[in-house]
Amino acid sequence: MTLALLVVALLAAAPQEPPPAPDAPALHAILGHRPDEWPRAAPGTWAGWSPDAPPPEAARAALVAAAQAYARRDLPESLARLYDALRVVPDYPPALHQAGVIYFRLRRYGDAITAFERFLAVVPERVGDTRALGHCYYTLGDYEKARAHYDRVLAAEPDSVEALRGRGLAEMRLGLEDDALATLGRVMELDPAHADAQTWIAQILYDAERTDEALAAAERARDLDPFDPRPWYLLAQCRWDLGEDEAGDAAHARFSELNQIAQEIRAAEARLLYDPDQPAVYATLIALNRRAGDLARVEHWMVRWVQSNPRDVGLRIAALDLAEELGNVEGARACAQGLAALAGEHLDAWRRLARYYASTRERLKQLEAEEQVSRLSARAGGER
Amino acid sequence: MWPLLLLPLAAPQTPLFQARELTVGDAVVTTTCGSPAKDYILEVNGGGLLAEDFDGDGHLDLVVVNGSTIARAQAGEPSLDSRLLLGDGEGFFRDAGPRWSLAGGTWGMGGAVGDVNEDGWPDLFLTEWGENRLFLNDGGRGFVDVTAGLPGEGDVRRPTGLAGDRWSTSAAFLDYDGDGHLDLVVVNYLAFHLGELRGPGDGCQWKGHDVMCGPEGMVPVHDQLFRGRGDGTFEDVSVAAGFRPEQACFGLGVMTLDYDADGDTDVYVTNDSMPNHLWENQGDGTFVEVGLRRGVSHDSNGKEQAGMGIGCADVDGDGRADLFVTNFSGERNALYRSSRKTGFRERSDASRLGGPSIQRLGWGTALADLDLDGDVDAFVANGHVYPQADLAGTDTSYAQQDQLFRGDGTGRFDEEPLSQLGPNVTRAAVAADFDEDGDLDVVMIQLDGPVLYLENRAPHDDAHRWLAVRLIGRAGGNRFGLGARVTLELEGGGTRTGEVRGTAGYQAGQPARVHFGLGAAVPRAVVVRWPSGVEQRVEVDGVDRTLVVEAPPR
Repeated sequence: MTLALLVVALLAAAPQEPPPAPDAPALHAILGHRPDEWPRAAPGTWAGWSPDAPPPEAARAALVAAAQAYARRDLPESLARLYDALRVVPDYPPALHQAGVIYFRLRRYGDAITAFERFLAVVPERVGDTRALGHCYYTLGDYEKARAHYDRVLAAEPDSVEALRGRGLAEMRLGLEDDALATLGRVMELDPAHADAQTWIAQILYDAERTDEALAAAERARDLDPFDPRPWYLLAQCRWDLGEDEAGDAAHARFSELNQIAQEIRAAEARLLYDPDQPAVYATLIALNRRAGDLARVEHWMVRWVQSNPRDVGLRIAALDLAEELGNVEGARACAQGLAALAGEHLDAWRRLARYYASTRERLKQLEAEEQVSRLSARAGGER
Repeated sequence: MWPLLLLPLAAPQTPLFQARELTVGDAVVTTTCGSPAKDYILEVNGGGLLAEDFDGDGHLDLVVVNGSTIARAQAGEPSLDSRLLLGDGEGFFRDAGPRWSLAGGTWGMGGAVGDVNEDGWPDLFLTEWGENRLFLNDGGRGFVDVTAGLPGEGDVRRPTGLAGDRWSTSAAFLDYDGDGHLDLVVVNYLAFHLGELRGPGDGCQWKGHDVMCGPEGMVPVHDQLFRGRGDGTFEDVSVAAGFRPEQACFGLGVMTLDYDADGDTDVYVTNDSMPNHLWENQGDGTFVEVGLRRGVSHDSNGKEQAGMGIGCADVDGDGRADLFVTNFSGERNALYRSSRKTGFRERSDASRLGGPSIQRLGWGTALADLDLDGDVDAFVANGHVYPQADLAGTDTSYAQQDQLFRGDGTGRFDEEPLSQLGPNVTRAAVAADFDEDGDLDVVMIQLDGPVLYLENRAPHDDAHRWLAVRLIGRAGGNRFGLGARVTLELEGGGTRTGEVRGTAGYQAGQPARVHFGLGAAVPRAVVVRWPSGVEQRVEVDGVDRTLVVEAPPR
């Protein structure tokens, strides 16, 4: 059982109604803390610990609250509750690990390293759960340490695509281009659709002035993820190197367009890290991804938005509109189901459902929806 | 603060540089750049440093460019005094006295040194937030402030043509059109108005902390190219010469180089949070911006970085100039190595210059053979712009360790602490042989503190030789040979190359001479390609000396 699953299990066991969101000052307060203030358990406290073991009762409430906040993507609140748990039950491994994950997602890599290293010190046999520790070393520029850590992870999980990708990047940064190409090549064997690894392969080939090969690799990366600006940047550089100015200019124009959008997306995503309850940001992210033409990401952010406020009928209607507009039949069906479950006394919801069922020729459901529309319309008229 | 940053880097040996506070007599030389709180972007760049022999006594002198405070600026008071310090050739300095006064100004940044009126003496151009200033060297006896104009007939002054009211950071003299008269590039940052102050609490955040605002959200200002007439006056030819990008950028550093080895001088400009520019000289008095095409505008992923300082040298011995750019924390300092193809490749990490810079914010830098072992090294002056960098979760810190990177000649470097000092907040820096022992010392601006003098303690033996080359151009022209290419031929084959330039990248100017560390190599001859295109070969009959090469007669 992985630690992530543990969080899910805790969440499933928790009451379904989320607790009221804490006020803003409390969120900021936890961000001013550092993990080196956590108390330490006596040596050996967690020896023989198993992820299957139930969480300690003393920390259970805090852990449940942390899991619930994490599910709502309220990272600061989740972190605050993990601090609570670790004060009560020092060095409880899943709490250390989850704090590392949250710090990593908040881009506080030094703090994530502290959390993950504490976790490994307590349960060294769980090294396979600490791929993100390698990412942290890498992001802070310690490539030797990153590579060494990925090697430890790979010793436990030889086919971990994430760890292989990380090792490949660390090797590239260390100037070990041949090793990096081999490692990233292994990533592509395991996951032929891994656009990011393919892009780095192209980068390494370009840096080595193997322009023809780099061009082919960049084209493949672009085909795997046409909305990532980096392959387009490499394509432009390769084309220019080869004297193909027109093709280079065209690739660069697409790079510029996508890169501008990507920057705005990164900025918007960063805002959500600290406060997930920002409807305008979700709307922005959906609009930006539509601008790029990345419909998969449009849907992703629509789902995230709905998840951020699952009882908002208006959002459910917007999600159904979007799914239909994008021609996503299955998505639209799921949205309609979700909307029907919440429709209750919402006239607009039933109107929208009636239209949807008409389009899908689900006659019985359409009639039922239209009856609801009539009933609610009559009542609204009576009330007037 | 990320605790690793508090620890000095592991040092296998005594640091190459021994640092001390720069003093004049018993007084420590300091500079000011706003308040320690750094509430506004005007307060974070620090002052500048310009090294040259102004009084002609054969020893390098030093101009320390000073800033001001918001309160002084709001009160309409002049900046704190910039100063010329006269060197004694042993690494110590004395005050130059009132004849060399640099008083006045608004808020000093950096500048450039060059003989603008062709009298054989180095003149001084100071960049400011506000009006830039020009000082003519009165025959080694003092400065004459000609900012308001040169002496004309009667009481009428001739404008220098350099007037303006921008925020200029760095500058460089060059002879871009080959007419023998010095021209000037002025790098400009952004429009900053005291009436529109935006500080912490005004909605500007970094990593969840309230910080000063900028440069994002502010208005960048175009850089300028001035064509010199040789009499101390200039004409702004920025537009006519094509020295004008589609979009103005937040300019911070400047480097002159002949990147394409076609004999004319190109210009590289670093921009804060925007693409860097490489201005390719077309040889007909115009420039074309080719930074993107040549791979020196972004990092290798196509991301814009916050370019600050610039070093330039041939780090891998392929005869072509490479560029090193210092950047913001969270970004890698970038080594752009010249490529066999059409431009450069970013090789920051493979060179081992990138990773160690990610948690640091770099400013002044240089590529030079600092330890005299024959390979190009680098140093970086570091320090964050936000005092809030010391708060939780930033993965960096305000005060930072300055770094030395020793090169191995193949384009790879190993990191060491630059000096015995711990973390501090440094900015502009210049490397020059102030104590005349043959190695390059370093002077650094420490933000709101003493200027630092770092004495180079490189060994001097048969494995650590050096040769410096100083050029003397024809009278009345480019007297210091700016833009000349110097190739050193070595016994047994092999060459080293360098270019004569006066800019040291970020708000700093270096002496116009080329310094070669030789290791155990023995030089055979120096080949100078003058800006005119004339090549001159001079036999070398010794090492550990400064070779003076005079331009051949026409």
